[in-house]
Amino acid sequence: MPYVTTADGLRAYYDHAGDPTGGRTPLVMVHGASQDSLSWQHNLDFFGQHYAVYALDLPGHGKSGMPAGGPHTDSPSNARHVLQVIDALGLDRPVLMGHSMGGGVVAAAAALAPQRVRGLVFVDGASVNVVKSSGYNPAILDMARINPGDWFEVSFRTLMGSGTDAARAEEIVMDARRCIPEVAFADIRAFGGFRMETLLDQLQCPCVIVEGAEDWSVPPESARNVDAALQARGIPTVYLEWPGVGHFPHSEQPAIFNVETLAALQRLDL
Amino acid sequence: MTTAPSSLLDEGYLPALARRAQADGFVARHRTLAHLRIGFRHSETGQRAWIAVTPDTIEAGQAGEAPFTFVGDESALQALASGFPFNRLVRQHRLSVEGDLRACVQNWLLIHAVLRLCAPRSE
Repeated sequence: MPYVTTADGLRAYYDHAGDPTGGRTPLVMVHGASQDSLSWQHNLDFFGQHYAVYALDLPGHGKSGMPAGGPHTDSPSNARHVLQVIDALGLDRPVLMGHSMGGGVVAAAAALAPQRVRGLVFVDGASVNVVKSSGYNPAILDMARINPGDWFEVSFRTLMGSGTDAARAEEIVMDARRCIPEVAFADIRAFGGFRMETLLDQLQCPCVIVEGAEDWSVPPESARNVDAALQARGIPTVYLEWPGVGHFPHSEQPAIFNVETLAALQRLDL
Repeated sequence: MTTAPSSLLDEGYLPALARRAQADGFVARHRTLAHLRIGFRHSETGQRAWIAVTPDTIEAGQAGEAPFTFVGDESALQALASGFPFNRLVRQHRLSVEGDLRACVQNWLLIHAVLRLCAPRSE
């Protein structure tokens, strides 16, 4: 089974695709809040034709162990975990792809260890001004704490794009329902407490930024601001935005996501 | 001449919503053992109404109290009536919750199941 033990002693699960011995660039996928590696099920094999792909379960999610102190409630802690998994797998300068909360995690990892990250892909994960866009504040967190499972399900149901097939939407929701409520609430805190605007000037690698045009949690306005800020510093970027798509482009419209995101990665020589 | 958009507290709106909810399969799946009364109040006029869900019936009314009440202005109640998600209105602080917050959030999914039927595409 694909597990590694991190320097913190955590048993960490990952799914993988693509030949890791063929000299391919490693691509590490980090899921969003209340999700796990299964959220990349429609992308893993496609990207595995071009990269050595590793889809992680963050601590407390999916089949990874729970940290001794309980689930991580901030993105830098999850970022340190991702870097430890990269070490344990012996990966050389991977591309990091993060969805939603995972976008903050991979950005934090790149800020912590810029020399170890080849490039970044933000999948509805380029989140600045998250309080304005997502509305998280202490009062809202008090509400979410009461019933994180239903809170996420309703959030996810209202975050789907208008072009999303109903069966696919159910699949995305059911994936999220597998998350332990305590972990789901920790994710809300991690997402709501993360301020990507504070580390944008530490990012040094090329970035692909993709967005569903109908995402209201990490809206296109936020992603465009991140794109503009990176470009102003001379960081190579590609920005993609798809109509009729919500917060989960890789799951809602995987055929479009896979082809166009791969093309963007190739444009940046990633 | 333009017609003012519907508001959730317009006469007949909630009874019609209750009829749609009574016939909806998604609501049916989530109202097993339900004992829910959702209150609504116009923050400017004080007008009140509620919609109640049990395993057998879904009905609307105006008299009596609800354990918790969504409170919003005309704009918020119009947005609700047009299908704008209630959870987004709460996060935007355009809709607040008075009363038993715990009872409200414990029934978050059932509230969504009913109020999503305000959207025109769900009719």
